[in-house]
Amino acid sequence: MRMYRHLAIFLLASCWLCTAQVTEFRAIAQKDVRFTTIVPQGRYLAAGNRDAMRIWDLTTGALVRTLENKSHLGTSFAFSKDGSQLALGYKDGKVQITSIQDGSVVDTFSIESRVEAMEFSPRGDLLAVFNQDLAIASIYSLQQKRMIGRFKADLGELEAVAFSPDETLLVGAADDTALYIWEIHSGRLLRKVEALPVATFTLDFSKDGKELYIAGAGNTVSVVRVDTGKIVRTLPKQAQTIVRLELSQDGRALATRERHTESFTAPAAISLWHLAGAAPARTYQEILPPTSSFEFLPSGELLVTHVSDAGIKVLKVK
Amino acid sequence: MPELTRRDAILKCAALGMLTAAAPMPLSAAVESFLGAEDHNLTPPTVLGPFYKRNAPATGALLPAAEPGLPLVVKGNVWDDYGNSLQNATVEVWHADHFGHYDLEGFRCRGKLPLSAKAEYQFSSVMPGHYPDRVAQHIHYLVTAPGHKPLVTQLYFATDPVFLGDPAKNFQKDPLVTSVELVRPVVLTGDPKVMQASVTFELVLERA
Repeated sequence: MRMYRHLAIFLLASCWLCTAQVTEFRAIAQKDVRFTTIVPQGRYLAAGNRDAMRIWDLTTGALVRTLENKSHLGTSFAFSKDGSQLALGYKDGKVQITSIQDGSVVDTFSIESRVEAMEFSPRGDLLAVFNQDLAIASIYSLQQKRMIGRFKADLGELEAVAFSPDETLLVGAADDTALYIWEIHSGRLLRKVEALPVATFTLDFSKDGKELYIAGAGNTVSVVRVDTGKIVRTLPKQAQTIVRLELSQDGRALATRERHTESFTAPAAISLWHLAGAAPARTYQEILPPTSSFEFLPSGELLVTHVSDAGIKVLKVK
Repeated sequence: MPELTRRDAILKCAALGMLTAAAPMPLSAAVESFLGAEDHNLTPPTVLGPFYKRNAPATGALLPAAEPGLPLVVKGNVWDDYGNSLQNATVEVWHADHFGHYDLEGFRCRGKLPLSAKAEYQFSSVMPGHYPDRVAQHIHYLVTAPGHKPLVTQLYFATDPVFLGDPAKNFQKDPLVTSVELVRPVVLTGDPKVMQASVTFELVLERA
């Protein structure tokens, strides 16, 4: 009886703001998991540690691929938005793009220093690659097979970049608290927006490309007009720094990932917001360790990973 | 013929018209300025970090009195690499409090520092705390001056336990400490009940 009471308290505590329906979608038996990522479109789950990344097909639960990293030269990875390609970045500046389906190498190129982070454009034509000190984002064209631009903030490091839906603009969020809106083909800085007094760590374009959803050290999601740089909406304040946000494909829902301000390892919330009503409403929140992640399905449902000693559980939040 | 010292050589050059001061300036001051250039190595830069906040208040008192932590006074000058003081520089500082927490709501432990006519700065606060994702105690600086490249750097403390009493050997225990020059000696004064730490940190900017 006491055990059931503890279980009930645990369930209540771990999902204390759920009005959404949460069901188990898939369980994967895998130990020593230090990160999880649900590949865009929700078909695959990637998870692993410093030594290897494994990719499972979420519809069948089958292991699709194992990517060894025994030499620890791999430093970062990114998946294309259609979930078909994986970019792997290395210490020596090398970037390799592979097909998830058959493991074939699609393209290889290099930047001048260690690859720190990467981001695919919406159609997968472009890849933004951050260099070692995060000061420069280089844009590689997968069609032209060459670098087509380098973008740098006036001061500080770039925390995140986002491509506009039509892939004409790149927005960079820097530690100097500014948003830099660049025209990709000319390399021109169109606008420097100082909307918030603190740094933005994550951003996403609205589906029509007219607004930017931004969040970071201010613990709040703000919506900024691209043409004016003015904040037009602000969501309720959250408890911690927001390090990731993502809009659903229909733009009616938003998911956020918080991180303890001074610790990368402390548990923090993943939240789901419905944006369609008169005011944004939070329908789901769980305090989860940094190994957890989320991704929207094309249907608008959210997949969330839970990691434990037993393995990985993928939950569907509706 | 006895060998000329560097000072003698410069004075001789000046006497022969090979050195001129652009503005009315005593010769001795010009010589001191010229000689001083050798001592003004650029302050090593480091990262800005994610906790910068715009619009910090103009104050040298970063915390009210009686806040937890070891009281700390930091002072120094702002120079260019030729040894000229930069009175019109702007110096912004920010750091974590005694508990290792950055104030992102308000402006505790943040300030835009007033400069004296000699480009001296000084501020009072407490010794920054450690926090989980950063090895060494530190204070962030953003220094700008017209005609000069912005300087983004951090001040570290030789008393920080992470350096194990030997900063020259151990400064890279924190991978963000780019140079041992950024680890400054700490002078402790007072008695054990009312102790205060003092640090001097010179800021040298590069001409644009």
